[in-house]
Amino acid sequence: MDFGFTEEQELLAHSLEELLQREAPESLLAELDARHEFPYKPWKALAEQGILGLGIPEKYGGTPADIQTMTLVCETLGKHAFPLGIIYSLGMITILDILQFGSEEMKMEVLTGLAQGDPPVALGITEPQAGSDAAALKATADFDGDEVVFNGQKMFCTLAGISKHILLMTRDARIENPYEGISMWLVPTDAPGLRFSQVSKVGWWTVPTYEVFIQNVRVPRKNLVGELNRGWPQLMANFEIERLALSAASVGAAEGAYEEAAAYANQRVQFGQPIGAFQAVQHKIVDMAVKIENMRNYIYKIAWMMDHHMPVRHEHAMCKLYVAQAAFEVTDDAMQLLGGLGYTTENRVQRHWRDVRLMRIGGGTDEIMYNIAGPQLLKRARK
Amino acid sequence: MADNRDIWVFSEKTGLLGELIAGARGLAGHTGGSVVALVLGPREEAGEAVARGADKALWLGQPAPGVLVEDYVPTLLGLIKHLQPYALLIGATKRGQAVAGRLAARLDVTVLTDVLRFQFDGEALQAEHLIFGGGALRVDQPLAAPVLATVAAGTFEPLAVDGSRQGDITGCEFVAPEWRVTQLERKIRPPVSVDLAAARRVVCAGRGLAKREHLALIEELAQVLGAEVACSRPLAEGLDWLPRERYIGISGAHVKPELYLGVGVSGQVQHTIGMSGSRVVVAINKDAHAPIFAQADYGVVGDLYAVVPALIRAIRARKDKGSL
Amino acid sequence: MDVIVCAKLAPDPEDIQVKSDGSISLENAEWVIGSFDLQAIEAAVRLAEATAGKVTVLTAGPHQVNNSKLKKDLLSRGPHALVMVVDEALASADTALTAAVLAGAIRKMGGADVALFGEGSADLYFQQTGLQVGERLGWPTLNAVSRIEPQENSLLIERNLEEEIEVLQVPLPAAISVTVDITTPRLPTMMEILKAGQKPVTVWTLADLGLEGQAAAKIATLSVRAPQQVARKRILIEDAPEEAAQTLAAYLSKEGLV
Repeated sequence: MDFGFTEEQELLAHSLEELLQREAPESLLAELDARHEFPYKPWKALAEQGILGLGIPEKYGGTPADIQTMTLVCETLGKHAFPLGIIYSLGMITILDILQFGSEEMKMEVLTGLAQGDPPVALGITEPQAGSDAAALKATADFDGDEVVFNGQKMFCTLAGISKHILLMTRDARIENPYEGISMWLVPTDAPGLRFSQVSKVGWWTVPTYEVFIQNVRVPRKNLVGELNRGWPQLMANFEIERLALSAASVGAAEGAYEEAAAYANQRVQFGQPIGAFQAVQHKIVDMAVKIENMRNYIYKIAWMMDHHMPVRHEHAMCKLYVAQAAFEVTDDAMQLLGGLGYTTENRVQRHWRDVRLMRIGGGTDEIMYNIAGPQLLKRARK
Repeated sequence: MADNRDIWVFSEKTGLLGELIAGARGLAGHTGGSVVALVLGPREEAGEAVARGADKALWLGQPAPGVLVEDYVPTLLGLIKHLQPYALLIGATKRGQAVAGRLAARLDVTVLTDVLRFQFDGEALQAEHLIFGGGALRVDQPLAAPVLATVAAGTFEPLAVDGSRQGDITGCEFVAPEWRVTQLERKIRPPVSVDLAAARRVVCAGRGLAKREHLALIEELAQVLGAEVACSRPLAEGLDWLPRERYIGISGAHVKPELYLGVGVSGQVQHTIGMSGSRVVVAINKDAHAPIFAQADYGVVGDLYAVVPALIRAIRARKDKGSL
Repeated sequence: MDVIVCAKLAPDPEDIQVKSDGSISLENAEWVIGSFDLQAIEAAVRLAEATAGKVTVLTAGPHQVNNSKLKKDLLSRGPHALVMVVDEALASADTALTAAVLAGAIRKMGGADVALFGEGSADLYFQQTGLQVGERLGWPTLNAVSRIEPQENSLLIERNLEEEIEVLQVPLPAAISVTVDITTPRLPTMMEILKAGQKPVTVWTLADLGLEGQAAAKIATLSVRAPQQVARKRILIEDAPEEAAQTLAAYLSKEGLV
């Protein structure tokens, strides 16, 4: 069983780390976070290095890459520049949906734009009354000649206000089964009738989230992505890889927090010794390292399974569940280890702590992950 | 080994040539040979070389316009092959490195570069120089003749000019080189604003400084201490906040002041090797684990933006008290 | 213009460990491309791109350099091919031997229009190799080059000297040692990394160059030790800024500096 990365993957990770040191040093990340500013320049630098094009076919300006490689990229981004890891992961689902279900025209426009540094396409699913119960969404799409007219309201639509497009999910209320009445549309964010209101969050400050008000927004019919009323299965197809990517970025963030904590333990002297000499601190360090090891093994196992076209229906949910919880615990322990300093904005641990906490909610809550895995596990246990 | 025990010296820079002559005298004392200066320039400089301690001078003449120092390699090669000196010390300027390397290739020897110290172990010559970015001192013994070495400015102290010294000055024919490059232009740099090597006190800015504007704080501290402003390499070469002459490091200025005060300097060996001879080393850095603290007499662990203004005030207060 | 760029693979000097007896160990050092050579490689690639030419990387060293990942690292930075001279005699080669080997390899490769070198090796930094190789080849050879512009059958270069910038026209073929200022090395993209493993690699020994047994050393290295550290007081002041400044000022006063 070869747990190693390929030489190409190692070289890529090293090259990416150097890029991030040049383009996204901690001082810049801290400044952008304090100003709640999207990291346009570092994101563009990633595009110029071909990082954003990974997994996109060459004809759209991309580079073929397997899922394990993309997982490594997410982990590396998460460790050195967590916001970039998040943005990268958020883009995963929309790239794949367009790639798999979009028209050639859409692919050309969206994918080449992304490979050149556009912010990813925003995902418009969640609504005020439809969170975990996503199928309860109510946004409508009505045909009018050559056009479609949308009405509704989306909530927690990350990046919508700065992206060029939203991948909008609508529901045909006449069809009783929601899973057979949802459609997927590509909507340009400059379409008249769209209004964005930014949501103030505890973390993810450089990755803006919006409430989107949709009032008689019109697009040509051809903006349908895939097939009418097939939106739900289309969407579900790529949630797994999105969750894996978000998990990988979170593992990276946990590693970053751990490094700060371990360095501090070696350096901070109290009662005449570095605090790393005290058992309580050592035990914490070991617990954190074990969690990181587990998280890393889990994400790469899932990536490996996906590269080998093995189903990961409940496996990916279990992975995301574990990582969301363990990664936050690691950042929390790191903050504890840093003591007072950990609670100040001088150190990046607090940023990782705030940002990673969302992983138990966003991309599918812990509770939904339990819901996905639970029945599957029991089904398997039946004789 | 050559029968000739003479030590030759060459540098296109007069000051450096004087230093090499002094160094060569030490070597010649062991080998029992003469110190011979190879002089490029007006004839008076050959006389000055003798006044500075050379026993003889081989005067190469004044380069004609468009003739480079490096074009004298065939001339030097001919002289070496004919007169077979024990060693040739070459001043370690860029041109000096080029001359040394090209001569070495022709003579099928190697060059002992940036030698800090020569010594003899009986008959065997040994040369010390730094490797690993300043992290290690290597002692080499040349096995082939002649010995070629480059020596940087500041390694040897030149002897005082003694006009009464006598020595043969022989003119040498220029041997035309096989290949020529065309000198199209010489963009002379504005004269160096500071000679850090001569500074008695130095305040050095490091990467801990967040913005170029903050150099004003460093300048104020330097002013109140009567010190020159210096920096670590990244501030001069990467960021261009300060001119090249002001950076201290293995490939930059070497200083030996009575006070070196590093502000936001981490203390990497490539930098500290340039100031390790300072009498008193002080460091201000917010990272208690910065390597500079192990190389400092006094270290303040703290935010330079708070400590430096406070230090400026504290020093001023003492000065005012002292002048009452 | 076809370019051969020489790069040195050696243990990373940042990884040196000083043992308690003052001796130096590189046992745990990772072998890497010399940091100054990255600029030379980039300069070579840009020169070739500007003149529709090819770039071959040339390196020489002991068995550790014949490493798959290092080869891909070199080839992921833009060159078309790699030539390596691998021989244990090169583990402790002086510049004269290194230069003889590289010159021999360049001749066996059929020469080129330009041979580029970095400022110096990352570990030894003698700043000599390019000059000695060029002279052994009988080519115009210059160092401290901070700018190169290709012309019809020559190079326009700028040399960054202590008191001047010298602008020269150099006939080809030429051996040029460049400074760090010449350019910023590109970071390998995934595409380049993937292609690296498929580029041609040639491996020669000293015997292939007819240089076996000619490695008579020109110098003997007697010792490599950590430089003597001046004993420092190492007094650490960790008070709040105001108090710390006062304490420091008092020390400076005691030292006769204030």
